This record gives sequence, structure tokens and C-alpha cells, in this order.
Amino acid sequence: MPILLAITIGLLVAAGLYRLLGPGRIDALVGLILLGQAANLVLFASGGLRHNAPALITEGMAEPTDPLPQALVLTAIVIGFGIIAFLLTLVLRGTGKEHDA
Amino acid sequence: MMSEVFLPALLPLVPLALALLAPGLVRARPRASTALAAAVLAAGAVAMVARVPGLEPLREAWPWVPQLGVEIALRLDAFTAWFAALVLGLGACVVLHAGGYLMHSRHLPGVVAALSAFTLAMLGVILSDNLYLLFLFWEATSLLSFLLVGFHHEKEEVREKASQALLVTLAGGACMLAGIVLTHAHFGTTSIVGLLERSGDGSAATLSAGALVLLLLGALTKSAQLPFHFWLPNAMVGPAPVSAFLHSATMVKAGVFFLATLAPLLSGHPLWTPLVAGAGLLTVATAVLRGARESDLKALLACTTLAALGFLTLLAGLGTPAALLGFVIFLTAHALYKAPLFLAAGNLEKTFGTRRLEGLVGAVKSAPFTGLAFAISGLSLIGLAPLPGFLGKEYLLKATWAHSPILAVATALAAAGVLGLGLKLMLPLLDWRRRPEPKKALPLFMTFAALLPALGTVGLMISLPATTHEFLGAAATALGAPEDAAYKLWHGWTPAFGLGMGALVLAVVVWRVLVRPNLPPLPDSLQPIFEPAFDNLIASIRALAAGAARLLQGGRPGLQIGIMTTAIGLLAFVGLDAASWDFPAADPAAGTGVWLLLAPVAALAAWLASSARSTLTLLVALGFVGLIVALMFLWFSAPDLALTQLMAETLLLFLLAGVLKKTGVQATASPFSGGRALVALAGGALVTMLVLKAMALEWDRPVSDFHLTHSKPAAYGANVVNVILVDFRALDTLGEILVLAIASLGATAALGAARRRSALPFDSDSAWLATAARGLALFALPVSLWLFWRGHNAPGGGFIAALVAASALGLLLLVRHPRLDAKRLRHASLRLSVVGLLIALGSALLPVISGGEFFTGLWWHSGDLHLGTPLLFDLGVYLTVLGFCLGFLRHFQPNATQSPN
Repeated sequence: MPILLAITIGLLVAAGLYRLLGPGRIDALVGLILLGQAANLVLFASGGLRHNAPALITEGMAEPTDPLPQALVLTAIVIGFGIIAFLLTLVLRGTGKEHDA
Repeated sequence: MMSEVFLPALLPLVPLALALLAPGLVRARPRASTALAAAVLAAGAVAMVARVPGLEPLREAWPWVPQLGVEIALRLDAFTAWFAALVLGLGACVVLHAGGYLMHSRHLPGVVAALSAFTLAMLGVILSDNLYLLFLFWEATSLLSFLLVGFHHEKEEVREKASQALLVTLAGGACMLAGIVLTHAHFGTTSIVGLLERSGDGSAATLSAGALVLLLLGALTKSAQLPFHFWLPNAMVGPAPVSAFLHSATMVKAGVFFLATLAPLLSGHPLWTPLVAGAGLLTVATAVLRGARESDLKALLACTTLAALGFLTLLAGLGTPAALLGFVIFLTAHALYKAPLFLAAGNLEKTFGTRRLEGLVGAVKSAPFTGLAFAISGLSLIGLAPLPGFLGKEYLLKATWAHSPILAVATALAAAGVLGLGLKLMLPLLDWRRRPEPKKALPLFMTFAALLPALGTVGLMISLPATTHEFLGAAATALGAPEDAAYKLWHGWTPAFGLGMGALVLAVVVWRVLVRPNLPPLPDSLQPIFEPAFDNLIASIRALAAGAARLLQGGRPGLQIGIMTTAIGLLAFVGLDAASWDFPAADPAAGTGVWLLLAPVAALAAWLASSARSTLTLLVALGFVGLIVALMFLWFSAPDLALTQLMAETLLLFLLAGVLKKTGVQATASPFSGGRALVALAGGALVTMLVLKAMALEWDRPVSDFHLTHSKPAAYGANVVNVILVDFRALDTLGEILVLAIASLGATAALGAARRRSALPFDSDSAWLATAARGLALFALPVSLWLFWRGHNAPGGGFIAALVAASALGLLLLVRHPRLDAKRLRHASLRLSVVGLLIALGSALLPVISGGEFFTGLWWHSGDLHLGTPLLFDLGVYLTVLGFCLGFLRHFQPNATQSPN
């Protein structure tokens, strides 16, 4: 049911955009996390969704799924994590609470 | 001959070396170094003059961007060599003068360097044989003159005037670049030599008017012609040596140089002469009107420069061989008299403490050497025979008479005005009845520097009759004057001579009018309009920019992001082709049951994340979103992604929870907003449609197929995703881990040392949690190593393994493991990142050492065991990612020596 996946991604995008546009202090952060998840799924879905056909070369395997989007998404997850982690340190810095420990 | 071919290329290296060396040398030994720099420039000038006789045109080119017609091409002929000699020679005088004028300024080293660089840029303009290259040097002269004019940058007025000059010339330069592109397209060449070969074949007449006007905008702004003339008198705010250089041989001369160089070709265009000659003549008139009301010595000199530039532009506008003959002598005479006039003005200002003409009456007598320089140059300006200025005026009138007698009469009238300005300038200073008291003694450098070019004027006057064929005449011929050009003092009773005499007589009358102290103000119709118009334009651009910034960046990022997302969304919607639909086929093996389970949970989690009322709800919702994404990866044949997603999500939530708890930032959603919801839902719907479209496409996948086919035989790995990361696309991965290392450094920089005193934000003294965490960590670390090892053939690999290890360390931090103290963590994170990057880079370089290409895999086989540099690279990835995670996690570690209050 690819249409359900598409709708799920759409909902994640909607939730992400809603938070991203919000005025709160960490709205942008939460929005970016959600949009990041959605973007990863979009990239992943573009490779075609196949069940039980991982890109592992084994004897007698019919046709594995497209490995390229997976490689892209894997790095995207880690980079996305890096960006959010960096933004979090900015939140930490921006609140000016670093001296009250 | 080597020296011949490379001379044009080597010449600019002289000022380049000076510009690089000057700051250090001048700081250490101001006087000696300044004198040395001047001597080097002067030597260059002598070498150039010596090259002029019998010089056959040289050209040397090196390719740069051949597709765009950009090459590093230099040319040298008698005229460019002569002009280069003027630039270098006057550059020497100016540097020497600056050494005295700014002797006590700590900015002297910078000024000497900037003057040298300016000389280099000007030489580049003169010697370039490629219009694009010329443009680069052209812009360099604008930028450097900004630095030089803005020398006294602590004064508001100076900053304004310097910016005005920069904006006018840079705006003109931008137009000129567009004009160059169009010219290139029209003639099919960017070489000046190549362009000039087309002179007279009629091809210039068909050049579009737009291209011509754009080129002229560049040249006329630079040479300060009407209506852009106002920046030049304003640039007087610069120090005297800078003014001398700008006005004599550089900057404004670049403009007239460009006009004269292209005149033989472009005068074939019907608009050339009316536009260029018209601008020139009007500029002279403006300069006279303006100068008549000036009583500041430097300002008055600036007006005479404007007038001289007007005459030069007029000659270039005529573009005939006779006009170019006049151009060369006028240019040379003007350069040689204007530099000493400005330098002498600087000397007089220093000596007598004023630049007002009233205060300088009789000054020549009190400052004899400066006065001598001033007198010689002033007389040349007035055009007294047999000084070079006389010849300039004579050949100017001759060329205009040949074009049209009416123009010649108009020119003579304008010349009379300029000569009147010259008299107004000269006579008070030559007044022998008065003798003002000098207030200060001058450094020898300054007197000498002012006298030197004045002696050049005398030298030219004496040597001209004998050497005119070899030097000046050859230069004029190279520019486009008739063959075997020569300059003669006496032509017989020609109309030009008559007009010249008439102008001189008229000038005396004009002078009698001009020296009246209470000259009536200009009538309204002649009030300056261009400068206020320009200033208003700039002011309105600034106001517009400020308004846009207030609107878009007024502390509401939502507005900005909303505009951007809406724009992107509309663009995507237009390209979507929503009319045609082709639903993607589902993989029957995937089933629907899992969707009916996952999709509603995802929807709920997304809803909660957008409307969470408490931090805990938000964290749970985000966790669920991440978990569901991981399950989707797992279900749809991406075990590596699922593992990475799980681990990254865990660490992310750990960090997020920590930061929220520590800072007390409220994570609750703000009140519902219909507008935001509308944008968000529209965006979501759009992405849904895009995904459906994308999934319905049949992709051509040669790259993926290549990876699948070669993964096992070429890279000895069954896990194609990992093989792509560490072998096929390893360079991308290297870039990525570099980004991670930089992000970690950035976080350290952002938080600084202050954060090291921070304590863990969680209360975690629970004993059972501590035990469980230790047990889990004990289990997780071997698992991490195992995942790393199997990564090449089964789900796992450096990224995943490092995230697992980092999660285990995060757990230990949570329970304050005693061995994880602040210092150790900081060192570990830094070391891991650096060592990891080095290992990754080393694995890429190893094959280079053994003669292969960067990132070629080197393998060692033993039975079923295959070890290779990709595995080493994966180890680098592992260590870098672990170091990166620790770099962030350590900001939450407790300080053992501090009580956790």
C-alpha cells in the first residue's frame, strides 16, 4: 500500500512544517527533526519498496532491492543527527544558563 | 629572444613583489625601504622607456578558461610600454612622497603596499590583451583606490566620499563587464589585438547600441566624465600622494586609456563620436564652471584634472589618427605636470598649514624647490611654449580643427576656460611681493618627489625634438596615429596655432573674471544635479534594503520560512503535472496488515509531536516517530537503515531530553494557528503527491546495478549498502565524517569552557539503573565490535557500530560512571575524531603510495578472509563517529569534584 506510506510521509511533513513555522523556542528544532524523518523516507521510497529483499548478495537470491537510496539515507540519518545535535548545543548556549551550574 | 617574450609577463611582478614585501620591510626600516621601493619602481620605468624605440608588438598568452574566451594574455607595444613607464615612474615619485608625507603614520607600510598593488593593477589594465583579464585589473584599481582614498577612514566624510567613488566606479565596471560579454559575442574575440585588426572593416558599425553604451558606462565612470564626474573632486579627501597618483597616471587614466585603445575600432560605430566626444566637451565645461568657484588648491587642481580628462575623452571620441596623435602627447604632458602639482600641493599644505589660495600667496618664494616644481608644472598646464603642455593643447586643437572647425572653436573656448583656471591657480603662488612664513620644515623625500616629475617635464621638453620619432612618436603610432609620427613645436601659421593663441589671450580675460572673490553663485539651471541624484539613489536603495530586512528578519523566523516553503511548494506544484496519475504498484509480498498498523500510529505520533503540551509527550511522540520509521526500514528490506535509525534516534532523544531539562525551555506547542496549519497541510499534501509520483516512476538504475554486480567480485562484500559507503562512494563518506568532526568542534566552540562545570541534568542515583546500565554497556561494547566486523557482509558497519558504542557510553554517563570524567571525555572525543579522520585518509592514500589511484581498494586474501583498505576506512568512520558522539554526550557528564546541586 504505497499510498499509505505517501500519506504517512505527508503527515510527518505537515507536522514538521507546523512546528517549523511556530514561534516557540524549540519549534524549529522539533520541526527539523520531523522534516528530517520525512525526507529520509521520501528518499528511501524513491528506490521502490520491496519486502524481504535486502541488498545482501547471497547465492540463489532473486533480485535484491536498490542499495543506492539506502546508502544515501544511511548517511542522511547520521548527518541529520549531527545537525540536530549541533542545534541542541546552540539552544544550550542561547538560553544563557551555562553559568548557573 | 627570451627577455623579449617574457618582459610583459615579468613586469607586473615588480610591484607585486613590492606589495607583498612592503608591509614587513617598511615597518622595520621605513625610510630605507620606501626609498628602495621607489628605486625599484623607477628602475622598472627606465627599463620600459628603454624598450620603446623600435619595439615590435609582443604578445604572450596562457590559457585560463578557454571555453569562455578568458586567457591570461599580455601585450606590449610602444604605446603600452610608454604608458607603463609613466605609471611606474610616477609610482616611484608617489611612493617616495608617501614616505615623507606619512612618515609618522603607523599606516605607512599599508599605504606603500597598497600603492604598489595599485601600480600592479594599473599595469595589468595597460598590458592585458584580453578584455576579461583587463576587467579584473580594472576592478582591482577601483577597490585599491577605495582603500587609498579612504585612508583617513576614521572621518565620516572620508568614508562617504570613498564609498561614493567606489560605488560609481564599480557600478560602471559591472556595466562594462556586460558590455565586454556583448562585444565578445559580436566580434568573436576578446583579444584587444584581435579586435583592433577588425578596425575599418565595418564590423563595428553593427555592434548593438546597448553593448556600446555599456562599455562606455564603464569607461566614462572610471575617467570621471559627465554625468559621473562628481566622484573625482570628492576623492580629494585622500592623502596628497594618493591624489597625485589617481589624477596623473592611474585610475582615471585607465578610463581614457580604454577609450583610446578601442577608438580605432569603435569609432566606426555611429554613436561613438557623439557620445564620447560630447561627454568629454561637457565635462570640460562643467569643470571650468566648478573650478571658477573653488579657492581650495587641491579642489581647483581636481577641476583641472576633470577638464584634462574631458579633452582626452574628446580626442578618443574623435578616434582619428590625428586625434590619437594628440592623445599621446596630451596624456604624457598631463601626467607629468599633474603629479608634481598635487605632490607640491601636499608639500605646501604641510609647510603652510593651509590649502586655501589666499593663504598661499607668494608661497613659491618661501618653499623654493617645491615652488620650482609647482611653477614648471603650472606653466606646462597653462600650455606655455615650449613646455609639453603647449604641444598637447596644439595637437588637440589641430585634431579638432581637422574634424570640424566649429568643434575646434568650441574646444578653444573650453581651453581658454581651463587656462584661466590655471592662471587662477598659478599667479597667486608666484606673487613675488609676498612671502608667507613656513610653519614646518619638509622631509627631503617630499621635496624631491615633487621635483622629480617636474624635471621629467623639462627633460621631455629638451629631448623631444631629437627623440620624437623613437619615443613619443613611436608610442603614438602604436596607438593608431599615422606612421612615423613625430611632434614638432612649430607648424607654421595654422588655424590651430591661431586658436591656441586666441585661447591664451581669452584666458587672461577669463582669469580677470575668475579671480574676483565675490563671484555670483551659479544660476539654478547650472546647480549640480548628478551628485544629488546619485546620492538619492543610493539612499533609497539603502532604505529599501533596511525595509526588507525589517520585514523579513524582524524576529519572526516563521514568516521567512513560511514565504520560502510556500514559494518552493508552489514551484513544485507547478512542476507536478497533477493532471496525470499513475499509481505505483505495490510489492505483493509486503502485505497490507503492517500498514494498517504502522500508518495510524505514525499519524498519531505526528499529531502529538505538533501539539504536545508537555516535554514528556513531545519526547514520547518523537520517539514513536523514529521507531516507526525504523520499522518501515526493517520491513522494506533495509536492515542497515533500521539499525542506524534506532541508534541515532536513541542518542538524539537522550540529547534532546538533556538539553530541555537543563535549560528549562518549554517544549509545549504554542496555541493553534489556522494559517500555520493550512500551510503545513498543503505542504504535506504536496509531498504525498510527489512521493506517489516518484514511486510510480520506472527508474533507470545503471549505477545501482553496477553496485549490485560488482560488490562481491570487486569489493569482496556482500552487504552492498556498506560497500557503497566504504568503497564505491568512499569519498562522499570521507566528506561526511569530516562534517561530523567539524560539527563536534563547533559544539565545543559554541559551549566553550563554561560548560565543563555543568552537571548531569538527570537525577540518576537509582542503584538498579546503575547496575542495569553497566550490564547493558558491558554487553553493548562487544556487540558494537561484532557489528563493525560483520558490516561488510551483513547488516552493520562503522556507522552503526559507533552509534551502538556511543549509546552504551551515554548510558554509563547517565549513571555517572566514575571513570568517565570531564577531562578524559574531552580528550577522548578529540583524539578519536582526529585519529579516525587520519585512518580514513590514510586508507585512501595507501594505494596512492603503491602507485594506484586515490581510494583504490588494496586487498589481502587468505581463504575466505578478505582484508583491505575499505575495512581500514570503515575503522576510521567508526572512530570519527564515536568521537563525534562523545563530543556531544560529554556536555551532559557530571563533574566528579562538584556537588550535584
